[in-house]
Amino acid sequence: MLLELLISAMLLVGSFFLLVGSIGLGRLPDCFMRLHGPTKSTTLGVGGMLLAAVLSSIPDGLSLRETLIALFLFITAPVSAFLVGQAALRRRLPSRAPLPEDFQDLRH
Amino acid sequence: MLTAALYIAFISIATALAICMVRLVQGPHAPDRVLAFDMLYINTIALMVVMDIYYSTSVFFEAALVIALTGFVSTAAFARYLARGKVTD
Amino acid sequence: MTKLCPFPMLSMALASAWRLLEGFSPLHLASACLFAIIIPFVIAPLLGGLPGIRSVPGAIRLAGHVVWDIVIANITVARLVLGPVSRLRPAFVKVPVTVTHPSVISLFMSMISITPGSIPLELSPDARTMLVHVLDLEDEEAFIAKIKERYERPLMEILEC
Repeated sequence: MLLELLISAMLLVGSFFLLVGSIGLGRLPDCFMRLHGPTKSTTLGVGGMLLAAVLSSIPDGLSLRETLIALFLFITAPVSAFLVGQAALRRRLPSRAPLPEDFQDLRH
Repeated sequence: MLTAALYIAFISIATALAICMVRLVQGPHAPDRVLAFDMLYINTIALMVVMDIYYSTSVFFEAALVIALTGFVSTAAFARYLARGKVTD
Repeated sequence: MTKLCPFPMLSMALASAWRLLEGFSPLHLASACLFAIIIPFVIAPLLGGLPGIRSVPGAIRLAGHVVWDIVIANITVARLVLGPVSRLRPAFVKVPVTVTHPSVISLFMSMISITPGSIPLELSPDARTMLVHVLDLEDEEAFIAKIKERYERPLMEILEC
């Protein structure tokens, strides 16, 4: 019963943050601001879901395999955000915040 | 209660996927589409994990792992191509 | 021993990941050990020199800080995203980087990007400055001071760099 409650709570937390990340992707006005949605929701959104999966495996023998996916996503989320942000910066996409001057001639 | 939570999770992931698809089609720039793709594969991983819990199996685990690996590599390749005009140095 | 196993932490991580993935039979244990020894040799040229860990309790405390900040960051970003968009104050901030080791710089940048409302976008060619995009900036000085104090200083204390 308690376990079921915990699993449900983790599922709800995870799905809430995933939804918030996607809403951010749809709602925020420029590409640099949209970057924040996916990066943040990966960590807690998918983390919550995978924690729920680990908890739900407790009755028939604990399996920690799901933590591997969570770990992989934790490591790769900053890298992909950095790469997409760099692409946006080098293509000089419109941004609400003024783009800095001396990082402009980076295209090589 | 767990069933209700699972249904809520399914509905919110489906909504998230729909929003990502809209962003993927709408753009307006190429990095936005890459970002939408990134979010799309992350949501798919979450969907597979929830399906694992729903059917109480672990058949989707391998699929989720492969999607995580290929999704990251393709996001990185797309983004590097957009930034540098080539994928490898 | 150091010849056979140049990166002990990496080997241990690989072996435990393989065991998590495949279960606990003796054959899998053997293959885990094999991979843990072979893979570090294959990727050693890519890694270069990795900095050693000076204090394990400090590293655990820093990891705790980061996990806590992830939760805070998610709640902050959720509030900002669901609130009125016109009130957000996005900004590019130039943050001076003190650490010099490439691996430590990348760790520092990863930490910044998964913690409250900021994403590093670019490192200057001489690796002394980085460009960070902040979703809702209140005070530039305070922001720079906070990330340097909270992440960079512990990193410099914990790792030999």
